[in-house]
Amino acid sequence: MFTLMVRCVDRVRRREDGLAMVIAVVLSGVIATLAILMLSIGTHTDSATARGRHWVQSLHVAESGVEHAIVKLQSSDGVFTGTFSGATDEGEYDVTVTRGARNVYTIESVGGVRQGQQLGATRSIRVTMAPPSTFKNAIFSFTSLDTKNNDIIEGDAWANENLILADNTHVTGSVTAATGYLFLHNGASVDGDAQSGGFDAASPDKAIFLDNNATIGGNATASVTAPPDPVTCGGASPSDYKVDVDTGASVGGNVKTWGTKSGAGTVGGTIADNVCTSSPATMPMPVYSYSADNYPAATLHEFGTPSAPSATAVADFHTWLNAQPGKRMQGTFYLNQQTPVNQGVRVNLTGAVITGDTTIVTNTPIFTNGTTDDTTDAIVFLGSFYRPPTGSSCDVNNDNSECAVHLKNNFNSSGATAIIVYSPYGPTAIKNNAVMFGAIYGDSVQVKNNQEMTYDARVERVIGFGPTHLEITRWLEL
Amino acid sequence: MRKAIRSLSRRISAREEGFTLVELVVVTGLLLVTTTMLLSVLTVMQRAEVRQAARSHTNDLTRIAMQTLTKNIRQASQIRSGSSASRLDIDTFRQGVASHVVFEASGTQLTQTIDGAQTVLLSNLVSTSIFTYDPVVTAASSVKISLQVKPESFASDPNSTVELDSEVKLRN
Repeated sequence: MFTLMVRCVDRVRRREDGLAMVIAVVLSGVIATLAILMLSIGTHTDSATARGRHWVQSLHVAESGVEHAIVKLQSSDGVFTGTFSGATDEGEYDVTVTRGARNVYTIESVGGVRQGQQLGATRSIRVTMAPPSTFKNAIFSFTSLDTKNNDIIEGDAWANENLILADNTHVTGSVTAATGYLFLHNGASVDGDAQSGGFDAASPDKAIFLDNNATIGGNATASVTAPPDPVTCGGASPSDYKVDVDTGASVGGNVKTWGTKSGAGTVGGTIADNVCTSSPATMPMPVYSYSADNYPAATLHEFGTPSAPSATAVADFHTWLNAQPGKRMQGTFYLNQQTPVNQGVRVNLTGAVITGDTTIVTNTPIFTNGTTDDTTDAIVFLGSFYRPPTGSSCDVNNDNSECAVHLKNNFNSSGATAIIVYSPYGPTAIKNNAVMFGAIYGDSVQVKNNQEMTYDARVERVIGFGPTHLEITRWLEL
Repeated sequence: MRKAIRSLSRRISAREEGFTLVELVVVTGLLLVTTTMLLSVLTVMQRAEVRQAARSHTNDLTRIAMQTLTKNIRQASQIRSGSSASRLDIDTFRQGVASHVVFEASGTQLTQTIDGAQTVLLSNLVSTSIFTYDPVVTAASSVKISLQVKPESFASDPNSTVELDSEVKLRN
């Protein structure tokens, strides 16, 4: 009986062992399958994360290459070109620096992380560098700007002191007299805004004066220079800061003044009298520094050097110019004339024909009575560092008066050539039917007789100006 | 007598080879419980796997969209007027070529329009409020991007949203 019971229990146990095995196998299979699936998802996530990380890192590496190139450029005043490689903790970069026309540099940097390996990433950056943005106004006067007779200025006009627009002069941009008054004579017009920071001391009640039929398309704001408080406006007398809009004259936008609006002219917008606003800060004259490395050596002509003035610099330049067939000229001309320097020793471009990018830097006056151009795309830089005698004056009608730059009688340029006139220490005078594209920056500026001055953005960046040698103008990922 | 005992023993032995009703009920019950537990574990694990796969896939798509957005915004030269939290209208560069690109979130889709040609960049958006401009939209120097996407398989599960954030400084 006992034996039978044992056999019975054994049989039952054997059957139960078989069931457990089946369950264990099924469970193991299910768990293994799911584990594989979960692991594959985890692996994929890891891979995707690694790829994303390398993708971002490769951009950092490429940017490191760009920064390395910028350091090389800035430390060498922009004379570096060529290729080089480097590495960071994250990867390696290969950089190529090329120099284009007008000191425009292109930096191409390829950054790679785990290059040639699994999950590696490579990204390419192209950065363009150019001289800093400097010249943004059509006309800039460090002191006052005075126009006469039907001039047309396409762009903005800025004067740190007074700004006077003569009869029928038309400005398509804005006008600013930062610390002075603004005077629009009969029929003068400004399409944009107008702002003044001072008032006419000779007629001490006007900050902005629109004579008969003069117009301002935008807002007219008569501000006070650096008022210490907005309540009393620094004690400035409101009676000095009138915005006088004469009969037939108009302001299209709003009038805002520390004084009051006067005159029978109309105002399209609102009038806010006795409101204190601060005039914009005066702008410094851009500072230029000469370096021969900035210019192509093949077309660089130095008459004297910065450290060694030449007694015959101007004479030698004229000899060179007269020797050119048809006085056709282009290139870079540096003249350092030995003292004494005066109107008798000046660069005379009369009859010259500009045929390409031209830079003239001189410590003498520059004069021309007719210069033309024959180019398809050129920039002309006329820089005179002439300092007129104290107490002297520049008269646009007098060829021998003390102007630093005196351009008269058809210094015409086709639209293909942009001209920038720069005279930080003396006046610039320009007159008589000249059509100029570019900009004029002078210690003071006189413009007269149907002068048409159109701002050309090509002169915005000129080598030698700005707080840094070069700045980034374009950042692209290829 | 011996014959009778052998016959009885055979009968007893035959009875012992079967199961009683109680045994069968108990065993069946245990089997049911075990099977239910197995199926339950299987279902949970299967759902978890599907959920992870869906999240992973959504994560991939969102990453790609984010990379596209950041690459375009980083090179932008101008943010045009009309840009908002759900719309980014920029002048940018693609492979060095100037292009006009508009990203716009509407409903559950983020579209990309390159020089007039529109494509869907991302679907199943949770929010159309994607772009934040610093300091202001009219003069932004950087743009923050927030993409919130719900995997398609778990549209009703509030905890399944995939969210990627980034901030890009404009270079041009």
